[in-house]
Amino acid sequence: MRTMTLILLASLALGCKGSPKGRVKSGDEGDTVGARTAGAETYNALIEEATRKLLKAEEARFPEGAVRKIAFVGIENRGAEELGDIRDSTNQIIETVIFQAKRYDMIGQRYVDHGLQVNSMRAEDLFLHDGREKFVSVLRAEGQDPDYLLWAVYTTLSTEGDKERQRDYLLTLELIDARSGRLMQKETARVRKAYR
Amino acid sequence: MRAALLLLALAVVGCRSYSDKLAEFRGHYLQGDFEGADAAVDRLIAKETGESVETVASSNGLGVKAGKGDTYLLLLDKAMTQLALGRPEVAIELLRKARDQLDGHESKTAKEFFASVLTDDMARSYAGADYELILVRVMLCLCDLLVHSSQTEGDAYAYALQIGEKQQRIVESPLGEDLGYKPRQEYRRVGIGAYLQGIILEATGARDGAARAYERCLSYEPGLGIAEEAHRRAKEGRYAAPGEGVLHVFYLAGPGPFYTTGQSPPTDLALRIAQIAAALVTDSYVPLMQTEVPVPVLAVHVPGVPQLEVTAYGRKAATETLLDVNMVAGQQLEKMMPLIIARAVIRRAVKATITTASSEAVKSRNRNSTGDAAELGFALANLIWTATERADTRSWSSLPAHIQVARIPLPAGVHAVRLGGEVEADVRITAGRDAYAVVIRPDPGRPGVILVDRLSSPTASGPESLPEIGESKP
Repeated sequence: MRTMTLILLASLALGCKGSPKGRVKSGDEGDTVGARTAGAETYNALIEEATRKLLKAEEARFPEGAVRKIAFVGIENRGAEELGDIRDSTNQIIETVIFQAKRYDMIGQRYVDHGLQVNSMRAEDLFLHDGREKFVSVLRAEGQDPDYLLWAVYTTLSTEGDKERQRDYLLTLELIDARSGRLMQKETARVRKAYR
Repeated sequence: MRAALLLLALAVVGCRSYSDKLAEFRGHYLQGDFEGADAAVDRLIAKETGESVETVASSNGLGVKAGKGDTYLLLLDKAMTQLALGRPEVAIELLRKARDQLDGHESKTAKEFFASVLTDDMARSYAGADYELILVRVMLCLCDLLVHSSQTEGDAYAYALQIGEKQQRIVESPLGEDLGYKPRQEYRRVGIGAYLQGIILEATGARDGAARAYERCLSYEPGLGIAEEAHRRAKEGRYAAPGEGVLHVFYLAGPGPFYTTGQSPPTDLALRIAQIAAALVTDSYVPLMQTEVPVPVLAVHVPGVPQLEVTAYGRKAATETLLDVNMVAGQQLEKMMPLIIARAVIRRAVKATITTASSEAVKSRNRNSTGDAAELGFALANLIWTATERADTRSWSSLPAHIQVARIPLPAGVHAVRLGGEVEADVRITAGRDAYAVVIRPDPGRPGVILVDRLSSPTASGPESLPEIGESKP
């Protein structure tokens, strides 16, 4: 009994700790699911779904064989989790999906950044006529006249349950006519996650 | 016997408190010597991680294992020095690393809270005081506003939401449920997250959302003048006059909370909690004692911090306290104290049980002078074991005493903004946009530093990219 008590009490003092390990995942293996926040499994799905839906809807509006230029101008984070390096990968995945669609050209991010920097503008300035005009004229001078501006907004919707917490992740893409500022297409993709 | 006393004395002398370890860092930081403080915290991180000081310094503290010992706590101090040295983007990385570690170590249940090692509270992984879990997100939000100068390009809004979300989770935490005492439920909520959310929404034109956020802020901070004014403004939809933008000043003022070791007798509530917790954790009867136990005591340098007068373009605004960090820290410590005392009481009891049981086991095998010597030895061991106990005085030592805020609308153009005394900074104001300035002054008697967001700092963008410069004088 006494020995048992000693073991029990002493066990309070000890803990086990594993050493960190890494491995390369095979191509067909699914993404690791983030335990506390969204990760690749969420963002990859959101971006691919929203972009494909958006491009497909817009394709019907212009003639077969024509190619339209898109400038991806910004990502607004209205969600409860920081995006950090997700911003860069969002850009890359969208670029890949647009490239694969074959009906669109994506204007390089460096041109877009230059167009904003030269005029000391923030991305949200492009929603105003003057800002858009200045931006498009800089890109035109570089031979990169955009037909559309693409804007992404991440949002979250959280629900606290008794035993688990659900969070919906939404990505809304807006395709805006670069000249008129008219909203041409808007698509949203959603991924739901539960956390314990 | 003499040897044992010597051993006891050595053990006591050898146990430096966390605040002793941080003394050099705090000395530099409080005097506004941020370079010196940065070098001092690098040495502490190097010691904690086993890395060289050069490795820590060259990676800005980002190349070390944040989870080793108290490293993540030191990274919080490193983040503050990096911010003060004008590197908010590095501060963000450091704060994020530290935040993730703190979240991972948080005690959510009584069992987690009490299942600690037998030495003392300092040997537990640091879970962060609850106000620190809030403040790390506040600092992330402020740093992000400085880096991105924008509500839409960065993650400032996400961090502002996280403040409210974390606060909600802390208050609703089940910690103490099975003990009949839920300390976190009694915390006073702070309005800083809602206020930050409000200013971000207001600047994007989402006035209804902004009004709701300010309303929430006021429900936590009734009578807060700047929030009342913001609420009226958002309701009426007047952000600023045509052709004007807005400068938000965040004043990180005075030295924040730090802790020293004190002694406390076990209160009735603490003993009652200890009795239940002991049964929960050890699953056996543990006899509790009435002796005093070491506890952390909040040490606050100054009771209040004067406001900062912001002057530009002939207009004036005084900062107002949005978050009194010292007060919140004091209140939370007071609410947590019964649990802290209960944990120390259980530890004492468990140690006594172990040494008594061990002594009796040896004595029953050696019924002679060897047995008596062993009994004396175990008694001394228990004395040393308990005498070397320390209270957990760990904390984020570079937090300010107050976070004060001011809002001042200004015409578009570059303005010389005076921030109390002789301290001045040039800020570029864009019509219809927010500009952000963070003033860090750990010693209100010294100038400290002023940081202006990237796009509102005239020197950072280069003169060729500046828009037309407006009048800087009325």
